[in-house]
Formats: sequence, structure tokens, C-alpha cells
Amino acid sequence: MRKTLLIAAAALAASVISSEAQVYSQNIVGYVNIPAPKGYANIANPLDDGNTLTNVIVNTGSWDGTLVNIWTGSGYTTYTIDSSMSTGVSDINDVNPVTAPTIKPGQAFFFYNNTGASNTLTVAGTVHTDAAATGAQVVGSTTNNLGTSPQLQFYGSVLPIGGGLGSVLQFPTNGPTDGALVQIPLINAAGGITGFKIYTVDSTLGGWSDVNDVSPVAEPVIPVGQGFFFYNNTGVGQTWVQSL
Amino acid sequence: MKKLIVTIGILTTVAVASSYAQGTVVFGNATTTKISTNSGPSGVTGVGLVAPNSTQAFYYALFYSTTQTTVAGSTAGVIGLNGGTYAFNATGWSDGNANGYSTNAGAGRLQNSNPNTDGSYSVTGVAGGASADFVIIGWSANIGSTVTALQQYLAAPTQNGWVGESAVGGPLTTGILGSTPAIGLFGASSPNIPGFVLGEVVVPEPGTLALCALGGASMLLFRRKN
Repeated sequence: MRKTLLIAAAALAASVISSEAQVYSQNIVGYVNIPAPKGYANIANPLDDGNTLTNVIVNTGSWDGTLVNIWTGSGYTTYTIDSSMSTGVSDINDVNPVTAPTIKPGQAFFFYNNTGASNTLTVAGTVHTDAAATGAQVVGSTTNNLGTSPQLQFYGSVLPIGGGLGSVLQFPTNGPTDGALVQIPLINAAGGITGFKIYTVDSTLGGWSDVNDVSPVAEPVIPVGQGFFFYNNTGVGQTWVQSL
Repeated sequence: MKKLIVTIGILTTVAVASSYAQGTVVFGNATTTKISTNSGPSGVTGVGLVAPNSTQAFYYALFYSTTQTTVAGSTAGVIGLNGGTYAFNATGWSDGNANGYSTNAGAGRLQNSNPNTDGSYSVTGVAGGASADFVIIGWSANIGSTVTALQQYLAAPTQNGWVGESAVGGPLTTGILGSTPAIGLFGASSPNIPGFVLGEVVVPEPGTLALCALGGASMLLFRRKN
């Protein structure tokens, strides 16, 4: 299994902290570079970085005026990045400062780069884990709850990895999520959102099928730091466990 | 100027796409929400739409309501001529199928015949991002290819056919093509629509009618004799 771990790079530092005699956890610090071309970008917070909008998008002025659309479950709340505001974030019209919203690791949003130039979003922080590494794991594991209310959520990988949603990101396709929909935002070269590539989870068709759940298709690929919509119509909450 | 640019940007973006756009849904079911036919005289049972012969096709129409959460007081499905009211006969329900019906996609399965580029379906009459309740009405193609033909058939059935209506699903917030993902109509439980059953509408054969008439006449004769 090929895993793309885009942490480390130049600033990577690993430290092992022992909180008890026999219990170890690894705090792996690093950064992830996420492309932010002109127009829309699909971004997911890949690290524990303070977990607010201003932690994910560190702005020293170069991002002023850019917009962030955060999924509410049925629509979007739009924020403006503005370093002149006391909170660094303002409302949709860039008039009043607002508290920077929480963006946890594994939460995705749309970023609208209206600066006129393509750029890169650098997110720095610590790899989030819910449990220490066991066995062959070197980082640890996370347990992500895929709820039913709201049914439609904009998720990303909690671990900073990219690749096949099932084969690499370890999204469950073994039966309990059958019939649920995964939708990948389609963004064209001009930076506009043109629609969504819709997949149906179907363990009987190799894990993934088309929008109508008729024909098997190749699994969706999610680059590191990007997200996807998941529509949970299974009637119960699902669990997505990831490990490295 | 900055605010103007931002405002223009927002107007063209996901947050506001277009309030006039039609709401999008995934008008197809999955292997977990199949449609079945009931056990009728034609011997068709269980999951799978292959009745009354292997070439039989089915149509599915989507009805919505932004004011009703039941169809004439019931949230349950209708099987054939039993169990309740079809949405086209109920107050507050509208036909959302100007973009076409769904048809067979295999045994117990359906898919819309006129999808958007992403495979979703635009419901006419429901604005993008708006919420509505939904039901799906299915019928065998020998009845006709439109809801109007189905209504005429139910008023005076001339041949056996399969008809059914799903349970009410909703409220479900529709998607907006190009900005907000389409929601799936089907699912395991509320607010989604689970799989449902089409019931056979049986038209008595002439021989059966003749037997009934004979029986009635015999009873009259028997009464007169006594």
C-alpha cells in the first residue's frame, strides 16, 4: 500500500513523549503545502494546528480579501480573510469582524482565492491521532465519526495522507456504508466549481460504483489536504478508522 | 471597490449560486434500497423488476411538496390499489418530472433518464437549496409512459399492471448544480426513501365476470323459488 505522507519536509521534527512508563505517543510536527490556484480550491485541514480558520490559513496580508465557504450541513457560511480585522476574519461582506470558525483536522471547506495569482496554502501543525501506534503502526490511529445529522458533510482525511479513498485513506467500503454517496468537487481551470463527481459506496461492486450504483468504477482519489462530501443515508452513524 | 469585488465574487460563487436554479437530487436507488413487486396472480414475487415478462420496463415519477409531510394524511407507501392515495390525487403535491422520468437500471433498480452532467437530477419546481418532501410513484410500462397515462389507467384499468408509491421522504434539502452536492433520495430510513413495493392491479377476466353474473342470477332464482 502506497501512502503519501506529506509531512516532514524541511521542518519535520519527530519527538517521542512518554506520559507513562509503558505508553508512548508520537508528536509528529510538520507542514503540508496545498495548492490554492486562482478561484476555488477544495481544502481540508490535514493537521492539528490550533484548529481555527486563522490557524489553517495563516495570513500576513497576502490572503486579504479571499473567501472561505464553510459547509453548514445544508449550505455555506462565507467568511472573508482580513488581516485588518481584530480577529483576522470578517463576515461575508468584509464589514464586521467575526470569531474565526473552528476547522478541525479532517474538516474540509472551499477556499476562494481572488488575489489574482495562484499560490500555495501552507498548513503547519501536528499529526492528529486518537490512539498511539500499535503493532506495525508508526504514527497511530484516528477514529472519525460519520454522523447522520446532518447527512451531508464535507470531510477530509484526518491524517495527512493522499491517495485512493478506500485503499489509502482507509475509508470503509466493506458493507455498512453501502448505498452512501461520496461526491468530489469538480473545479475547472478557471477556478469555478462546475459540479461534483458522484460515487456510490457498494461493497458488492468492489467498493465503488457510479452515481446510480449500477457499474463499478475506480475508487475516488483524494490528494492530501483536500476533501470530499459524504452523504450518509445508511440510517446510522458510521466509523472511519485510519492508521499509519 | 474592494467590497464591490468581494460582493461580485460572492454572487458568482457557491454561497449563492442561483436561487432560481432547480434543486438537484440523486434520482436512483442503490442495492440497499431496491424496489420489489408483490406476489400477484402472475406469480411475480420478491425483489426484481422482471415482471410480467423479462422485457417489462418500468417508469418512476418524482413528486414533491413544500407544504405537506404526508400524502393525504399518510406517510406510508401505496401498493397497487391498496393502502392510500397517490400523490397526484393529493393536495399540496406536485409533479417534478419535466426533466424526465426514471426507468429500469436492472432488477429492482432505477436511474433517471435525463441526468445532469454529474448524474444528478434537477427537480422542476423546487429551487436549488430548498427543502421539500418527496415520494416516488412507479408503474409498469404496459400502463403507459406518462403520469397522465397512469392516472387514466387507475381510473379504469384495462389490463394487469404494477403500480406503487414510496413512503414519504423528507424534508430533504436539494443541491444546487455547480455548488452544493445533490442529496440522495433513497436511504435506509427517514428522512430518506427506503425501497418500496409495486402492487399488481388485476383486471378480472371476462370468464370471471361471467361466472360472477351467473352466480348472482342463480341466487336471484333461488330466492324467487323460496
